[in-house]
Order: sequence, then C-alpha cells, then structure tokens
Amino acid sequence: MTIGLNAYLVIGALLFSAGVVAVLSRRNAVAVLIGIELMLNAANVNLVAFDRFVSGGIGGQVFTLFVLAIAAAEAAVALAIILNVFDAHDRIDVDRVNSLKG
Amino acid sequence: MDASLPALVVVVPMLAAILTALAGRWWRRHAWPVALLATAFAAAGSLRILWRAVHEGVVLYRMGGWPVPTGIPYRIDLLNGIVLAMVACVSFLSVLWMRESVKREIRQAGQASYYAVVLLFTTGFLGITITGDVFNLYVFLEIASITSYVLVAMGRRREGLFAGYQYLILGSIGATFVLIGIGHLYMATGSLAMTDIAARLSGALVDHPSVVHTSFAFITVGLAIKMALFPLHSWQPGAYTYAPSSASLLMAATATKVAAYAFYRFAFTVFGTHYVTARLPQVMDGIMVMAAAAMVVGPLFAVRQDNLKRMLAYSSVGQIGYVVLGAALVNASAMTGSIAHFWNHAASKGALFAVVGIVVLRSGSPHIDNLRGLGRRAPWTAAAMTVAALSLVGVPLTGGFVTKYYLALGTLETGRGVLLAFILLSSLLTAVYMWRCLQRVWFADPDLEPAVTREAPWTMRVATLTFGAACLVFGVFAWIPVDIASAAARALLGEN
Repeated sequence: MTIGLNAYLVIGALLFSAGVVAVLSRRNAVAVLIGIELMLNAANVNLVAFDRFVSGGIGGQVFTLFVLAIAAAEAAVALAIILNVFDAHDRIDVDRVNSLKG
Repeated sequence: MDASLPALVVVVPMLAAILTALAGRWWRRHAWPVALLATAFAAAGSLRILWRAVHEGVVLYRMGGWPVPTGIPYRIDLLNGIVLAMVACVSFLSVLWMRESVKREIRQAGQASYYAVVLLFTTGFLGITITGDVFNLYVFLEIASITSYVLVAMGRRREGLFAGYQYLILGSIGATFVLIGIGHLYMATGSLAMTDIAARLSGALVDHPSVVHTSFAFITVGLAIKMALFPLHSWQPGAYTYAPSSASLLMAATATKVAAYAFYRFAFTVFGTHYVTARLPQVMDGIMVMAAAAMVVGPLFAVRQDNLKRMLAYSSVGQIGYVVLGAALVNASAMTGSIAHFWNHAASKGALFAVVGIVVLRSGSPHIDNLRGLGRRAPWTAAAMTVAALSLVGVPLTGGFVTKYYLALGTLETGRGVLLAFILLSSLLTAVYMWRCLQRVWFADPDLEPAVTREAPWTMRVATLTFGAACLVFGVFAWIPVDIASAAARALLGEN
C-alpha cells in the first residue's frame, strides 16, 4: 500500500480539528495557544503534502519554513502577554480574562 | 528612484523600525523624528505611486528583477493605489499626532520600542496593500497582525493585556484560515502570483473545482475575522478600547479596511468577477447579508456606550459594512461608493479617534461626559470632531454622503432596494450616537467646569485638523475620490 496525498490531508484535518477543540474547550491560556499552533501546523502539513504530490517544486516547503518563523513570533508575543497577565494575577485562566473584559 | 519607489515605500519604514529599536535604547528622543520622517517618506511615495497608477493604469515592480511567476511582483493598480495612499497618509498623520500621547501613556523605557512597533505595523499594512503575490500577502498580514497584538497589549491598563490576548487568539485563527486557503489555491493552480493564478483558475476549476471552492471559503472566513465583519467582530471593541490612544487611532483608521481590501483583491482579481457571480453567487449573497447586518448592529451597540473609544469601535463595526457591501453587490456604482469609503472612513474615524485621544490626554479618561464644554475650551478640536461626525452620519458636502449616495445608487441598480432601508437606519443610528457627543461638546451646561481645559499641543492639533479637513475635501471636491474610485471599480469588474 502506498501512502498518498489523502493520508496527509487526513492527518492535517485531524491536527486542525484537535487545534479547534483545544481553542474552544481549554481554559488554560497556554493550552489555547498550543491549539492555535496545532492549526497552523495542520496548514503546514497541507502545504508540504500539496508540494510533494501535486506541484512538484519546493515552493510549498519553503513557505512552511516562513510559516514556522511567523508562528514562533506569534508564540513569543502570546507568551509575553500571558506572562504579564500572570504577573498581575498569578493565574492564566481564560475565563477570568473574559470576565474582566466587561 | 522613481522606478524602485514601490519597494522603497515598504522598505524605508521597515528599516526605520529596526533603527528606532536599536538606536532608541540610547537616543530615546530621536525615535519620534525617525518614525515621522519614515512615514512622511511613505506618504509622499505612495501619493506619487497613486499618481502614476492614475496616469499609467498599472505600476509593476519586480523584486530583484525576477520574472513574474518566479519572483515577487509589487503590482499597484487604482484599487491598491487608493488603499496604499490611505495607509501611508494615516500612518504619517498618526505618528505626527502621537508624540504627546505616547509620552503620557507608554512608560518611558518602552517608548522607543513602541515607535518601532508602530513602524512595523505600517510596514505590514503597506506590504499587504502593495504586493501582487498571495503568499507574500500572508506574510505581511502576519507582520501587521502580530504588531497590532503588541500595540493593544502595550496599553497601560491591564485590560489591554486581556484585549490583546483575545485579539491574538481570534486574529491567529483568521490568519491560519487565510493560509490554508492560500495553500489550497497553490495546490489547484501551482502558482502564487495573483495575475498568474487568475489566468490559470479556469483550468483549475475544471480539474479540481472543490479545491478552489474550499480555498475561497477559507480565505473569505479568515479575512472576515480580520476585518471584524459582523458576527466575527468580537475581538474589535476590546482591542480598540484598551489599546493606547495612539494605537487605537492608527488601527481604527487602517487595520480592518486593509483586510477588506484584501477581500476585494481575492474576490475580484484572484478568483475573478465571473467566479464570484456565476460559480458561487451564494457566497456574495451571504456576505451582503452580513454587511447589511453589520451596518445596523454596529451603530445599535454604539448608541449605548459611554466609553467613547468603545462607541467608536462599534461604529467601525458598522462602517466596515459599507466597505464590504459594495463588493457584495458586484455593481460598479456601489463599488465606487465602497472604494471611496476607504478614504472617507479613514478621514472621519481618524479625526474622531484623534479627538478622543486629546480628551484622554487632557482629562485622563475617554468617558463621554468628558466632552462637556470642549467647544468653549478647545474650539479647533471640537470643530474637527463636528465635521468628522457629520461625515460619519453622511451629511451632504462631507465625504460620508458621497459613499452613501453611490451605495444607494448601486442597491437600486441591482434591484435590491430593501438595502436602502438598512443604509438609512444605519445613518439614523449613527446620528443618534454622534449627537450624544456633539450635544456635550457644544451645548453642555455652562455652569459645569469643562473636563478639557485647554487646546491640544500643536502636533496633535495639526494632525486632527488635517483629518477633519479631509472629510470636507472629499465631500466638496467629491470628484477627486469618485473619479479614481469609479475607475478602480470598473477595472475590477472588467468594464471599461
């Protein structure tokens, strides 16, 4: 049995769903962030798979590297915010974040 | 110099950002002049590019001289010429405006980095606007988004952190959707240059129709989050309310409209008018419903707010409806109104947020009661606010009227006259909340001591009055924006 494009797309879809579930259901701000990163990685898996099976260049793999760098920057900003919230409140509960938003 | 201007307009603010971040550690006072010079260059350059686009039709710049499908092209036609000029001029005026406000609201050690983030923010939005490559657009979208999260979180009050975090979560989801859409588009066509994708799309629609549809769906939803289109607007009021005043000004006048521009670009240049009208008309109908709902719901929430920043944020939720409605109607007149609204809304919302920033600087809080007596103590500021409020409502001889006139024309031409009711209701509600402000500005009880006791510093006053004057110029000399906008709309729809 050969592993084709569909297998990778299914993996991507599963990763994406796992990310969505984490964003929607987890209360911990770091867990929500990990969910976002999972969604981005699902997009990366798609890009690499499309590149390998359909277009045949290396463009998709190069883009994935760019996306990884962007995701790192995003995570850095998110963690900086979370640390600042933690300094102020000693907890990083998303529910409390929302309740204070008014 | 003239030939490489499209690249310089983006590169100069980016280099200036690095310069302010590095040099600002030691020469903190030089951060503002550097930011001002860089944005002034971007503003002058973008006006020059718009001038060339008006006369030459399309300005094309190839990064590194690579041919189009291989390298990244910067491609400026009338549509992004308009948006580019808007972003660059708003950034310049905002930076001019923000010196005193930043001194007050950002702690001293962070001021130089604040200007660096502002410059990167400008770079990001200029890049989204100018590029002709979809992946490049995504990268600039992320630069712009990440810097806006930082700007929001730099607010002094701790609510800014929470608002920044909420914005980060929703914004990242939106960007991820756009990325997945671009990935599918790449799969279906094997290309990333916008014009190249457009040329290959008809073939792709035969081979992989569902991939193209999936791509359009993901990109549309992602950009709808980014432009805070009702009902995906929940990040926006918090972000605009708790960000520092200067960041609210900058973001409210540019951010969501640039996402709306990206939607125009994808829908009409990349996917093409034929695709959105003949293959998937339901999507545009759905977006029309969302835009119409936004036009009414935004002002409806705004009426009840006592915090001026939050009121204006909900007002922006409504105003983005006007920008999107023209795209959803796929009609030259309506689109002329919407494209002209890029400028009109930037001018009116810029002026209003500038005035609110002055109120915050002088009185310490954006509560609506702090507007009382503004007309007596700060007549110039109050005048700018009045003109901007009239433009937001859509009174004749202001820019807002031009938008609404052409949008109304478009609804009648497409036989969707029921949308006229939404436009009227939206204007009426806008008049209600703007009247709440103007009544305090001009007709407050003279016995009450005004909260703002003196005029703003001259930098703020010049910028605020320029925003206010722009509302009048776009209304009185309406042919300037309308001629360019209608040529842009006809070019997008392929009519000539």
